[in-house]
Amino acid sequence: MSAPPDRDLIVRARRGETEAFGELVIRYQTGVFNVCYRVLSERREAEDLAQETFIRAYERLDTFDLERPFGPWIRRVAANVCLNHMSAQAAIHAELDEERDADEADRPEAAYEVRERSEQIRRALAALPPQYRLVVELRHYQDMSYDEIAATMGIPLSDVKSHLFRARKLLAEKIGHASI
Amino acid sequence: MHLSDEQLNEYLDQALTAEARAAAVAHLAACADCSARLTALQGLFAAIESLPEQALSRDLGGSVVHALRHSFQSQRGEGLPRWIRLTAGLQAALAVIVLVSAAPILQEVISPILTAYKWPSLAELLLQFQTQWTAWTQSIAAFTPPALPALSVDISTLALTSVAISAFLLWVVGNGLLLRRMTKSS
Repeated sequence: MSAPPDRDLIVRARRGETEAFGELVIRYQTGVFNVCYRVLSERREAEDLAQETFIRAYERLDTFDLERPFGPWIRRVAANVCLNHMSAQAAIHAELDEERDADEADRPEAAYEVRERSEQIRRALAALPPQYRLVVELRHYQDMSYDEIAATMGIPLSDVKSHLFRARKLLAEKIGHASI
Repeated sequence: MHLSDEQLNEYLDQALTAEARAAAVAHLAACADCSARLTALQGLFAAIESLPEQALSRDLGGSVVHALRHSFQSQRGEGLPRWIRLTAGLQAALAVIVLVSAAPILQEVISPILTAYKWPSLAELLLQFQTQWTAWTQSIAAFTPPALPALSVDISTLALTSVAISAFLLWVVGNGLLLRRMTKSS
């Protein structure tokens, strides 16, 4: 038996079937978690916010347009949840949690070039100021336009451009790209 | 004159106007320096977007469903421990026993108060009720509503029927929406 399409699960979830929503969570949890992880750079916190994202999404499920794909919508909700979370935080830790770094460094496969490169990019992202990280997330991973980013973050278009430009400059310096 | 870094960023972000984009394309075709900077910037974009997704350390499906159910239970006030709900009948029976046991004591306390007050007889109560009832019906019978100006519009049976059907449909739809909301929140 083939898996039910997202649309059916959403309709059932709107009727109050939490199991149907649970199925949607299983389908999109990795993507949502990675949005939170890229923005927050802290694994445990990202998992908690990913869970909160789904709970918020359930509460707003009536506002979802069934004609559109669910993935981009839920990732956008995740970005908003992260944005609210960051606004509420007095201090944001920009460093990756040391525990995870130590674990990864101990693994033999960390020697692979691709893996090292990924870690380097992740560390570079984590070192960015939170607002820059969010702009990079929305532009590079959620493919939003400048206008959409400005609307999502509630900042002027000029700030979107400057945040993105500076973020890329910092990333280029950190990961050794002599691009800008 | 070379393209600025901002222009190269906006070029790759598809954020230039059509006119600016056409000018940038023409310049890039003729300028090796800007073309090389664009290629490097594209490499940075590719590097950022190549970041692989990390796996979760736990499955969120179960915990989200559990959190939603717990939230609904709290909203409905069903978050009481099971043993409290199961002993509700027993508690009610105990309350009745205590009340019956305390009846003689209550009687001792209350009876002096009751005897001190002069209660009207049933006949007196009925007479009071009858008097008031008669006065009330007479005031209603004497009431004459203020004269209203005659309506110039002739309200037909069809119009009245339409209004009645509309009201009924409104009632059905309204209750349907309420039920839907209740079902979802349960």
